[in-house]
Amino acid sequence: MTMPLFKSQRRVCGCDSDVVSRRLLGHASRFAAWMMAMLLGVLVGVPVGSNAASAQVIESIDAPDPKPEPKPEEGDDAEPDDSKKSDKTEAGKKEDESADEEEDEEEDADRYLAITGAVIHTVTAGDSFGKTILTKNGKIDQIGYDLDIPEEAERLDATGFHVYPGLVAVGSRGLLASPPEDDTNVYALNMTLALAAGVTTAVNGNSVGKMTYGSVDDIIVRRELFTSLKYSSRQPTARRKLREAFEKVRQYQRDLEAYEEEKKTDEDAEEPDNKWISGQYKTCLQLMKHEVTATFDANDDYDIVACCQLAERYNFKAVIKGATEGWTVASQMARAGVSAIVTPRTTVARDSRSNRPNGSSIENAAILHRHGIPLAIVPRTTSITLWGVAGTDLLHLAMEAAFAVRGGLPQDAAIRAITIDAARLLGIDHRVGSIEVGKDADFVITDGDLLHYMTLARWTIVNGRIVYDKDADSLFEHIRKGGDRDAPPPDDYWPHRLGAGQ
Amino acid sequence: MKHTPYNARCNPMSEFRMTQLIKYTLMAALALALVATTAVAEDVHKGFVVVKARRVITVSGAEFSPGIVVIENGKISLVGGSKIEYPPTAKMIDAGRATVMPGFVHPRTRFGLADYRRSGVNGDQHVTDEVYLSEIDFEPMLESGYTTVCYIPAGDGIPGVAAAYKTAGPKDSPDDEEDRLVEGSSYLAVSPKWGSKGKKTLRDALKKAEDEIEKVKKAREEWDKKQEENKKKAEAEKKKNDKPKDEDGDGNGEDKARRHRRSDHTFRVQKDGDEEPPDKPKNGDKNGEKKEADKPEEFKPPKIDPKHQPLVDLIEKKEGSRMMIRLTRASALLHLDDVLEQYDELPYALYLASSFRSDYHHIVEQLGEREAMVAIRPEIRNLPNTTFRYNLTDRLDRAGCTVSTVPFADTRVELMRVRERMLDLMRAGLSRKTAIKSLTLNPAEAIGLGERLGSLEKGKDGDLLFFSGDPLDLNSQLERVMILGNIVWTADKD
Repeated sequence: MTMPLFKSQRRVCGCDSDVVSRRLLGHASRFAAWMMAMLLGVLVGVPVGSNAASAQVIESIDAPDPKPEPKPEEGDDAEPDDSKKSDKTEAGKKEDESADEEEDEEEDADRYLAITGAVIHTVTAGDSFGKTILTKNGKIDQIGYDLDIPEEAERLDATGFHVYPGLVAVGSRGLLASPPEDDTNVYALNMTLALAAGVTTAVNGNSVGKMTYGSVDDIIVRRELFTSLKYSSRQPTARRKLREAFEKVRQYQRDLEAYEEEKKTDEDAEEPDNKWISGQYKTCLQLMKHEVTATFDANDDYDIVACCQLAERYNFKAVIKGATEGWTVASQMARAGVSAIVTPRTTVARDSRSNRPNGSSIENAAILHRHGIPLAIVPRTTSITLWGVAGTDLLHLAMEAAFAVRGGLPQDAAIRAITIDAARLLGIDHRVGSIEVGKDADFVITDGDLLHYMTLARWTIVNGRIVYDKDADSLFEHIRKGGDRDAPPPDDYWPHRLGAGQ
Repeated sequence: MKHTPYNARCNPMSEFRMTQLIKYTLMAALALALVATTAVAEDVHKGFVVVKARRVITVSGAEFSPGIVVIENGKISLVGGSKIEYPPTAKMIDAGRATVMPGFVHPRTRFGLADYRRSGVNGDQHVTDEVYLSEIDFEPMLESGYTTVCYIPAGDGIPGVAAAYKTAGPKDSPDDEEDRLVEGSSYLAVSPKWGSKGKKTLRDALKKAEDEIEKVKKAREEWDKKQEENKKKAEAEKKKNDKPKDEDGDGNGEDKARRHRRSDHTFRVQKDGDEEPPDKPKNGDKNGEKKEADKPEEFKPPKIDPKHQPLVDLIEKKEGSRMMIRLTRASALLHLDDVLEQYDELPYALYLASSFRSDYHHIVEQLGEREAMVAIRPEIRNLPNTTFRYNLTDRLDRAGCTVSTVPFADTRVELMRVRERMLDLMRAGLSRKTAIKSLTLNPAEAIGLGERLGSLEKGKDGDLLFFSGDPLDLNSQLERVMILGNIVWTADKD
C-alpha cells in the first residue's frame, strides 16, 4: 500500500484555501461525501467503522457541569487596589481599565475549538460517546455533554469518528531540528506525514517537541530527557569504570550523611570533599538523587540483567531500550523497576546452541506487560522513510502497537504504550498522552479504531489547532473518502495527487 | 565677355565685391551673434534636458502619450503631456516614436564581484570595499535596462552593508565612485542559515546590539549624574546665574540629534570606523565658542562594537537603516517573527531565495497581511510534490505585498531575459502594472531609495530607458539609456 503511494505522492498543500483555488466541483463532492458520512452516523446511531470496544460508553469521566463561560471582563485584574493607589479619580480609573481590557481582548482573544459527536478515547479514563471536547488556547478546557460552546469557537463535527490523544513517538528522526524551537521546518512534508500518522509529540535527540505545523509557538515540551549510559558486556572496562563511579559516589553520600550527623554534636566536623564530582560522577549523583533517568541500550538477557542489577543496587530510574530478550528476564526487570522501549516486530531467531531461553518474538511486549513493566512502543525505524515493505517507520507507529496486540498485549495497553505510558516514560504525562481537562489539546481523530489496519487519521490537532485535515491534504485524501470503509477505490489515483482535480 | 569699365577694373572695391563683402560680414556677424546668443542660452539653461517621446510611463502616476520629461541637473523637474513649458533653448532629445520609462533597479546583486563569503555577524563590513567600478563591465546591465544596482556582501549570518550604484557615470568621469554611488549604506544584508543555527545567530546578534545600547545608556546616566553633581558644586561655589545649565542641556540634545541625523551620504566618513570624529570637533568648537572653562569633560560614549553597529542603528530607529532578510523556506518567516517579536517593528524587506522545493505558498497570506516588501525571482514553479504551477509573484502581489523581481543570476543572459520572464508571469496572471513596478519602483522602495528612484516624478533621478515600443513587448528593443540626464548607452543599430 505504501509503495505506490509514496512513489507518486503528490502533495498539494497544507491549507487549501490560500494555496490552490479548488474548483467548485471538488467542494461539492467533498461536501456530499461529508453529508453522507454524517447521515450514516445519525441513521445507524453507531459511529462509522466503530468496533465493539469503542461502541460501549463508559461514564467514568467526571463531566464538568455545563457552565457558562467565565466572563473575560471580570478577571482578577479588573479589581483595583483602591487602598493603595487613590491618586486618580474613580471615573478616570475606570476609563483606563476599560481601555486596557479592550486592548487585551483585541490582542489575544481566546482561541476555542469544539469537537463534537465523536467517540472519545481518553486512554486514562475510559471511552465515552456523545461528549464534546472544548479546548481553549491550546489546552483542554472542558469535556462533557451539552457544553456551552462560545460563539467564536471553531467547531469540528467529528460525528462518526474517534478521538484519541495525540500519539507520542519515543524517538524520531527528521521531524524536528535540534533545538526544536530554533530550526524546525514547520511546513515540512515529513511533519505532515507524521501528523497523518497521528504523531503529535516526538522525541528528537534528548528533547521532546511537538508537530506544530504552521507555527513555531510551543514546539518544545521538555529538554534534557535522559542521560544515556553504556553498560554493555562488550565493553568491560567502561562497565567497571561506571560501577566504580557509582560506588565512589555512594561512598560520598555515606560520608555526607555521616558528616551531617556529626555536625549536630561536633561543630568542627569536616565536610567531605566534593570537588571531584563532575562528569560521570555528577551523572551518577544526579541519578542516585532521582534527578535524571538513565537509558541503556540492552537487548541480550545478560546485558538487561546487568543493567537492572545496577539500577537496583544504586537505586536509580532506568529505561531499557530494545529489550528484545526482555521476556526471558522480565521478573528481574520488574523487580528493578525499569521501563522498556520495545519494538514488537523485532524478531530474533532462537539460538539452539544456548541452553537458556533466548530469541525474541512478537510476544515480547505482552510478556513484559504481564510482569508490570511500563512499556513504550516505537517502530524499528524512527524516521519517516519510503523503504520497508510492511511499513516499519514512524508512519506506522499505531501499526507497531497493533502487532503487539497480535502478540497478546491487551488493546488498551498497546494504546497506552504509544500515548500515556510513553509520555510518562518521558516525564511529560502532565501535558500529553491522554484526554483530560487541563492537558494539551493534542488529538488524533481517526475514522476507526486506532489500531485497526484500515484506520487513517481524519484530522490531527496540536495545541488546539487543526494541523492535518485528510480531505484538505492530497496525501491520503483519495483513500476512503469521508471515512467510508466501503467506498470503492478511486479509479483515477494519479490525477488526484497531481492536483488535476483542484 | 563684357568690357569692364576702367574704374571698375582699377578699383578693387568693385560694386560686386562690395556687396559680397557686406554679405559675408553680415553673415559672419549674424552667425557670431547666433553663436553668442546660443552660448548665452546654454549658459542660462545649463543642465536642462528635455525628452520628448510618443509615450511616457511614469510608473507612479498616469501615462502620457505623447509626453515630455524635463530634467534639470540630472533630476526630473517636470513630467507631462505635450503642453508643458520648458526653456526653448534647453537640450532637446526627441525620442520620436520611443516609449520612455524609468530605469530598472536591481535590489541585490553580486554582478562582477568575486565570490567572497563571510559568515557570522559582520555589520562592520561594507560592500563598497569590494566594488571597484572600473573593473566591472556594466554593459550587460545597461543593455538590459538596469540603471541602479544594489550590491550586497555575500555570505551567511549578517554579511554586511549593501550599497547602491548607478550602472554608468557621465562621459568625462565614467568610473568616479563618488559620482556613481547612490547610497553607501542602503540596507544591512541579513542572510541567516535557516535550519542550521541561523535563528540563533540572528537572535544573539540582536541581543548583543541591545546590550550595547544598554551600555551606552548606562554610561550616559552615570555621566549625567556626575554632571549634575559638578553643577551643584559649581553653583554652590560660584553662585552664578544658571545660564551655563541651559547651554549644557542644549549641547547634549544637539549632540544626540546630530548623531541620529547623520546624513546617509556621509557614509564614506562613517565607514572608516571613526564614528566620533565628525561629532567631536564640532562639539569642541561649540564649547570653545561659548564656555571652555565650564565644561572640561564631555560625554564620551563607550565604543559600540562596530560589528553590531548597524543593528544598534536599527533598534534605535536611526533614519534610513533597514535590513534585507533572506528566507530560504516558508518556516523561516515564522522563526524570523519569533526573533523579531520583541523588537518594535524593525524595517526590513524580504528576499525569498528560490530553491527546488520552495514552499512560500504557505506564507503568502501572512506576508500580504503585513504588506511586506518582498524580492523574488520572476519564475513560476510547481508546488512541492505536485505538478501544480504556482505564480508566486502574482499571489504575493494580490495578497498585498510590494513585490520586486530579482534576475535569476548575475549573468548577461539572465539579465537580458528579465523582461521575457516578466511576460511569462503576466501570461500566468500578473498584472502589467505590477510587472513594471516590480522592476522599478518596488525594488527602489525595497532598498530604501523610493524617494529617489523608480518612477518619473519631480525630484527623482533622471534615469530613463528609451524603448522602441512597449517595454513589455519582446519586439520592442531598448534603444538608449539615460542616467542622471546623460545618455550613457545607445544600442548598436546593425
